[in-house]
Amino acid sequence: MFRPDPIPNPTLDPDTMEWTMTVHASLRNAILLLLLLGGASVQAQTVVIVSTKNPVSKLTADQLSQLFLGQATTYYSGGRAEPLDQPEGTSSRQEFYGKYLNKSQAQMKAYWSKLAFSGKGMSPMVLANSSEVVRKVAENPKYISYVDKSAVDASVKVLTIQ
Amino acid sequence: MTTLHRPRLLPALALALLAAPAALAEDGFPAVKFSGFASIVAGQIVNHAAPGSDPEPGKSGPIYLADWSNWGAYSKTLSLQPESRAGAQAVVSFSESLRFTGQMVVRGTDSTPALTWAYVAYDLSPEWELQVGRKRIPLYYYSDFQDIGFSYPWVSPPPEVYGWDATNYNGASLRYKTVLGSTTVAASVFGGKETVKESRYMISAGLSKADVTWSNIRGGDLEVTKDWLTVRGVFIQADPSVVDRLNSANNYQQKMTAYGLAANGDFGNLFVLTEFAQNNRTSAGYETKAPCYTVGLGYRLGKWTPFLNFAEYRETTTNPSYAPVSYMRPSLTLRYDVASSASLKLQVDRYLEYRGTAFTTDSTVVRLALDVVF
Repeated sequence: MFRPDPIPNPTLDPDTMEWTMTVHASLRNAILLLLLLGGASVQAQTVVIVSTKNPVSKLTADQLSQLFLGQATTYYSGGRAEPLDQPEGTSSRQEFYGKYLNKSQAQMKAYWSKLAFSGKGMSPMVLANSSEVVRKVAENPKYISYVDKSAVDASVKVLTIQ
Repeated sequence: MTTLHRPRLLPALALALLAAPAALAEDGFPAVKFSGFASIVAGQIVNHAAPGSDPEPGKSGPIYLADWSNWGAYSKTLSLQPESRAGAQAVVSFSESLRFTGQMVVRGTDSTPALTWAYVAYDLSPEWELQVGRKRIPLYYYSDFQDIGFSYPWVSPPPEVYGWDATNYNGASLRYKTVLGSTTVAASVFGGKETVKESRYMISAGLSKADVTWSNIRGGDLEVTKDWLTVRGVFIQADPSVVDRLNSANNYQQKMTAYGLAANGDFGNLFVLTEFAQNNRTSAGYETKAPCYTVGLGYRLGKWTPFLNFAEYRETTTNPSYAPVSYMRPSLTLRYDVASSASLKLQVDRYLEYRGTAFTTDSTVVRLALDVVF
């Protein structure tokens, strides 16, 4: 393993009042920043959330799938459950259905159109964006939805999916 | 021409409104959700064996019947009329447990909007739901959503299994659904009645002004899904009768018993759709049986879904004056998902008769469909 070079602290030039660094150091810092950003985007992930008022803390993949397919309308521990969707075409919606239900957007649309036009169920309510989803989920323990991990705040709880 | 019974919206709507005030106090209700669907289908017979005679006045045969219920018949001329359709649906939720659903459909074969659904649904509990009003008869697996082209891989569900003289009914159904571990179970019982004025199905018997009634419709179904497998069984009885307004000598009464078993397997990219059904009718001491089946194999390749299907229909009868019909039909469909709510399909059907009708003959049919939901 290479020993990392010490990164010089930037120094404030008293004449120009500008931060100066050696070109070498700022280049290296830029690369480090890019690596960090790159790492962050790899880590970006869609998580499943419920209200902190909801006693549920984990679900099996089957249970999660049954809730978002409208097959189950209550949590396994009891209590009414209602899924909420992100808008169509958003990356979190695509990632959620692809990762947890193994379904494309067209497959989900076909599934819901079959139920919706034959009186067997209605597709989840769609909210405008992640912050709307977090706000709505926080206010009522029946709601379950998904957002990018970065949108999670203290009002909601991330579920463990087994 | 009237194919479906219409003036049922008002009683159902009145019932919904009467039940509404108690629920209006709830937050966010009433809420209305609009949705819709459309299929534009163009098709024609590209080659055929012997000549046939089209039973519709002013037309020349042969024809290929893709939709018996609405008499969606393709001829040697390219046409959009036989199967193109569009529908609009409104669901009014009065509370978390009380809803009204209304759906209207217009067809190339009947431009007057027909009321296909108009019912009030009430959730007795998370598992039990009562529906009262006008609905589709849940005869076979695709029956109650067979207008929604986007929801299945063919241009239309196999007419061998899905071609009957009534598609809707006025009545009630009680539905139960539950989850047992990784298994989901849905079951229903239903009952009611349907009258189809000037039934287009009866064109097949050369009757242009005949009304078809299914009295005493009663039945039940059970659907079980576990992992990749979905199995549905149905049993239904009814008393069909026909009244020809032009000549009462054509009137008849029947007793019908029908059952069906569908098994669908979904393995991710590969999927299999199978269904076996039998429709038995007794009339004037004679019994006619119509077993039929469809078997299809599809493979999802991203936005493309090729689908190979084989279907067969074989009538037998004890009535010496009735000529039973039997045929088979291999078909190949290529579906392309243009968007998450629109698909294009190209389908080639090879219709081959063991014993046919006066208006059909061995033929090859090509259809192109655009299906959308919104």
